[in-house]
Amino acid sequence: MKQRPMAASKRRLSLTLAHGVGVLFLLVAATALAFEVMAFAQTGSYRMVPSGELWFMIHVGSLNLIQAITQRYIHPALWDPVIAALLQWPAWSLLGAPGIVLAYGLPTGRRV
Amino acid sequence: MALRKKPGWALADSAATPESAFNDRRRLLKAMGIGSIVLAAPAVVRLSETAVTLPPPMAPETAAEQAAFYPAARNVRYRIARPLTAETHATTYNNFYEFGSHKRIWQAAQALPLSPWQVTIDGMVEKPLTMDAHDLIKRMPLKERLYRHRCVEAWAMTVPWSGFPLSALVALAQPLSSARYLWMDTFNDPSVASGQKATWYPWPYREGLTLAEATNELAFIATGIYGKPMPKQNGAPLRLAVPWKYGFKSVKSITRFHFSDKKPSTFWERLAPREYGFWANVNPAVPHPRWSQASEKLLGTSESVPTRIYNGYGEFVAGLYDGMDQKSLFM
Repeated sequence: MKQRPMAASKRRLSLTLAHGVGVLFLLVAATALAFEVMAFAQTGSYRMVPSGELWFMIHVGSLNLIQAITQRYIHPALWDPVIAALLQWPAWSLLGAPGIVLAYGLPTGRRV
Repeated sequence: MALRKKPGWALADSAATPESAFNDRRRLLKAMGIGSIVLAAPAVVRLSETAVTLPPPMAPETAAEQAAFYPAARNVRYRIARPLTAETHATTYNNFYEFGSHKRIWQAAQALPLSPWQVTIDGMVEKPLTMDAHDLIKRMPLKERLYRHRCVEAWAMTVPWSGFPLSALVALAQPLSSARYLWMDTFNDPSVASGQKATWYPWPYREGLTLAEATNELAFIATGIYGKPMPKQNGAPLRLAVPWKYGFKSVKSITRFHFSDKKPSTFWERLAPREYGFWANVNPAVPHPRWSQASEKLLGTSESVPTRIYNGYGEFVAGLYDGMDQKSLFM
């Protein structure tokens, strides 16, 4: 079925944005992985950096704020245990997996 | 983390214990013959509020024996003009960040085991000590004090704390003359408090006072509330009560008192120094970066009242800060 021009344009914009977010996730995941590898090279022992730790280092205020919003206005259990468990995962895997899907698993949005 | 939000404690007035009934409980106990049993309990050895000579420690006691400490005699020097907050509200609307950031903490906090509870006094002291919290409580001059409590989130309550002056603990510790600060740490047990599984936070929760503040007569270690042993969600078995400061300074469930010549890096100061600083003295004229501190909502009511500088305790504490940078004292 042929899409109307306006709807097609919105879809292309959404896909482009999703692709951009995916690329951003992949960049952060790659940075986190590089950080772990460098630490391993320096110390000789591997230490996984949890996503929560990375978030804490980058911007503790938003981590704290989103926890409060989630627990107070949505549901306490959504943060702990659900999101809290995810934040224990290594940053490269937590961001890398959705990054790959968003960056490469969606249509490009270009006309073919 | 603090947010201004619609209070979750808006219960019906009928749920509150009338103040007159609460204030009259000693007469009721006496009429029932219970007061004399409590006073005669042989295990209860207390000192006057000013004495520091210590009896030898006793064996750990049962919960019933601990309950015999309460209600402690009220110290009438600390008067309040507001009605007491209903116990239901003060014991179910709590912040206890180790258990999360929401207001259903009182249920989660029940997982906290209280016995044994070791308390360490160390750092710049004559002789470091470690003892069971209940032994420490037995050595101290327990009294009841009515204090206002002002949360940085702009709500307030008025409660009868039982406990002892922090100055009595300082006297027990015998700090060296070089000590300037008292650090206080809460427990650190991620198996009990799931929030502590977030290892990126600087656990344990740490707060601190200058030694001048710690020995001010208002600084109080609370061990009970409403004439009963302290509930877990309110900071059992030992918590700080410094009513002229915002509530986050009053660290709960303390396991360590550390004397130092260095100012501690406190938990919230490390997270958000512009919002929750070391001094954190109450001042209605200095807003939090995200909300006003000019007034406070009284817990369990729909009433808002103007906030007062030092939470109305200026006559006791303002002199502590003479000559200091006034700007930093209130954040």
